Amino acid sequence: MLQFPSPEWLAEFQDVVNASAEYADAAATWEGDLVFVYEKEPDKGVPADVYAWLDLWHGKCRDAAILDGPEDPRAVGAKFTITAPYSRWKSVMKKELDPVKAMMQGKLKVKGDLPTIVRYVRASNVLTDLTTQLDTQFVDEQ
Amino acid sequence: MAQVVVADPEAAGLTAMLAGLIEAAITTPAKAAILDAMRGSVAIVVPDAEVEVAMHFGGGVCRVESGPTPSATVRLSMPADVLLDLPSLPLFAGFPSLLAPGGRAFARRVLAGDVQISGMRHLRLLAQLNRLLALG
Repeated sequence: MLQFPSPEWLAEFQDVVNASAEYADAAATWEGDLVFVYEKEPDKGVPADVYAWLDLWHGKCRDAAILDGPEDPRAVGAKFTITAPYSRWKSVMKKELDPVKAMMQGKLKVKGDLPTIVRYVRASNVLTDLTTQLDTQFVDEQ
Repeated sequence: MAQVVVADPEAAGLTAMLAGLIEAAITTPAKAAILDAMRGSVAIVVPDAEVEVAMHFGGGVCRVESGPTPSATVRLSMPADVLLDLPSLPLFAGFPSLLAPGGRAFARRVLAGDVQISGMRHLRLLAQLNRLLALG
């Protein structure tokens, strides 16, 4: 079982993304890196914001890393950033919260080129669905 | 000159998404000309996400605001997934083309009652909105 959030979890997630035919199809023409920001919730074991960076290119994840913070050049230059408190991400990963509806409600804050995000909404849904395939131990459930 | 104004600068969610889409669109002169010609208000309701956004068009400005707008000229109600698919659909005369699978799927959702449109007599405004938001 992999602790979320952690570099180990993210590395496994990269493998899951790269093994997904559905993601490869949905994101076949996607070009650009993405940062998921898991905002801190100290009472839930997340003492600082976590920046998970994914280099996504034509249906594959070429690289992934937990960044040092918002000043990391990869965070600064990311094409897309999706931000929410840790517990909200957890709800998405547990399928208690639909990511598309959450974006419309402003519960997931999206930054980046909106036309591209709308065009690839199926890809981002698949990406979110893939998080449920990992055997995840949430940091506040230990 | 075409421009987008967001009533609440802190607005997030669908309000920010629609404003962002239109802002990106009007960087092209053809789309800016469409916005310049638009008159009236369009309310977009997404029942499954429990959000409602209104876009008020006039004088080359699109003012986007959250919340119910009962007086809107046109009112569109549709599920979140249909709304996000809409800009990617090929258009014919400003409406989803029935020649394309996506357009036929959209028509089926209309017939099923998932998509509800009031103010259909303002076809021109609807077609302009579709053209403005189209990503193709």
